[in-house]
Parts: sequence; structure tokens; C-alpha cells
Amino acid sequence: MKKPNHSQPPSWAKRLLGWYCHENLLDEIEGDLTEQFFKNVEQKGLRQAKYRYAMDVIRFFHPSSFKNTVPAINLALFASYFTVAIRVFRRDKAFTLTNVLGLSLAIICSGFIFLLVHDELKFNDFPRYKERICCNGKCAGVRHNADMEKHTLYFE
Amino acid sequence: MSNLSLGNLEETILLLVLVLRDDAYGVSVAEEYQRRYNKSISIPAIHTVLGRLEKKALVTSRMGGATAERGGRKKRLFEVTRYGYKVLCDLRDARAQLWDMAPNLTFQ
Repeated sequence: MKKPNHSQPPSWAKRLLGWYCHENLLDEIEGDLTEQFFKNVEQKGLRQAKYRYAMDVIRFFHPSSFKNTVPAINLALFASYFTVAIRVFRRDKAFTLTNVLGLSLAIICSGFIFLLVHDELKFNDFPRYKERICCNGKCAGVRHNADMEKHTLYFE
Repeated sequence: MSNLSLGNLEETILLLVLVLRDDAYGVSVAEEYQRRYNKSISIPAIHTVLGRLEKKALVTSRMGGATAERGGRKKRLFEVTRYGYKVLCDLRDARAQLWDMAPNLTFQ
């Protein structure tokens, strides 16, 4: 069987594999894919072989075959931060207590303020002529002008 | 058997590695699988399973020689460990015991 000159794996897929794949794994992965590619060329044709090669390169795109370019997050450092924080809490109990109480009080207060403001801004939707209702001098949707007085005001 | 959990595909590929002896690597396993089961399997799938088997210490691997048809790339050859062989035997025996107990049915 003669091998045409252009029966090579798609170069972009090969480059992609070389870009993300770890050097230690490149030998086995690219070797296996290349071998499979040439077998596919003979059995299934060049088109299919190229398609399969590209699909397999995409399927190998998995953290287990990546390069170690991303620095691992140092978990020990975070553990150290927590240890230090807990020691400070133990040492300065009064300080910790005022801090925690103050912060929780502030969060509760802001929550209540949000609820209050939400309630004040709420407007009943169910009246039929709701756009004519005035609430604290403001009208929902319609400007408060002389015209308004001609309409019958609808109260809840 | 302890707490080892072995999937169906994992067992099959472990057995294929055992059968292929000195020539068990990605492509040869895929080919043998295709020949036996008439189902195609992708190279990445084989690599994933072989990696899992190696993590479970059922197989070991070493780098083999490079050939021209692989674009000058080396291959990773796999071999079943003693533990892997024992696991396979246990699985076969457990199944054989069940088969001994199974009734001999004849369907009309």
C-alpha cells in the first residue's frame, strides 16, 4: 500500500496536543495516536483517520495529561492563617467578643433596614386604578398635576 | 477482595493486558478489544482505564522502544502485577462458583 505524502495527522491537532500535554506523557499519547492514525488511514481512509485523530486529541484534553504550569494553591499557608487567627481569638477574648458582636449587630441592623426600605417602597398592585393612587405625595406612573383632580381617586 | 471496586471495562482491559503479555500498550489493547467485542474504543478511554489500573496497583508500566510508525515516540508497556493477577483469579472463581449454583435452564 503506497502512502501518499500528505497522509499526516492534522498539524493543528498535533500542535494543540504538544501545547497542553505534559512532556512525560507526550511520548505514549502522541505515539499511540500516531500509530492509530496510520492504521486508520489504511482501514478507514484519510478523512476518517484525521477526524479521529483530532477527536482523540480533544478527548485527551484532561487535567491528568496537563503540564504543571498552574501553580498549586498552597493550602498549608491557609491552614497557618487559621491557626494564627484562632490563637489571637483565644488571647484577646474581650476584643474578639466586641468585634464579633459588633459585626453581627451591624449585619442584623442592615438587614432590618433593607426590609424596612423594601416595605416602604412596596406598592399594592391589585387596585384597578393603581396609577391614580397617590402615596406620600408621589404618584405611581402618573405625574401629580392639576389634571389628576378631575379623576376619581381610588383608595384601598 | 477487600474494598477494591473494579468496573466492567477495567476488568476487561486488565484481562486484555494479561493476554497480550509483553505487548500491552494503548493501541494493541484497543485493537484486541475491538477484535474480541466488535466494539470500537478510543485511545483516550484506554489510557484513562490503564491509568486507573496502575493507580490501584493492578498493573505496572515501563517505557518501551520507539518505532517509526509511532512518529519516533516511545510506547508505555503495561504488565499485570501479582496482585492484579490474584484479583482476576478471585473474580473468575467467584463467578465460576455462582455458575456452579445456577440451574441448567432450557428455554423452548
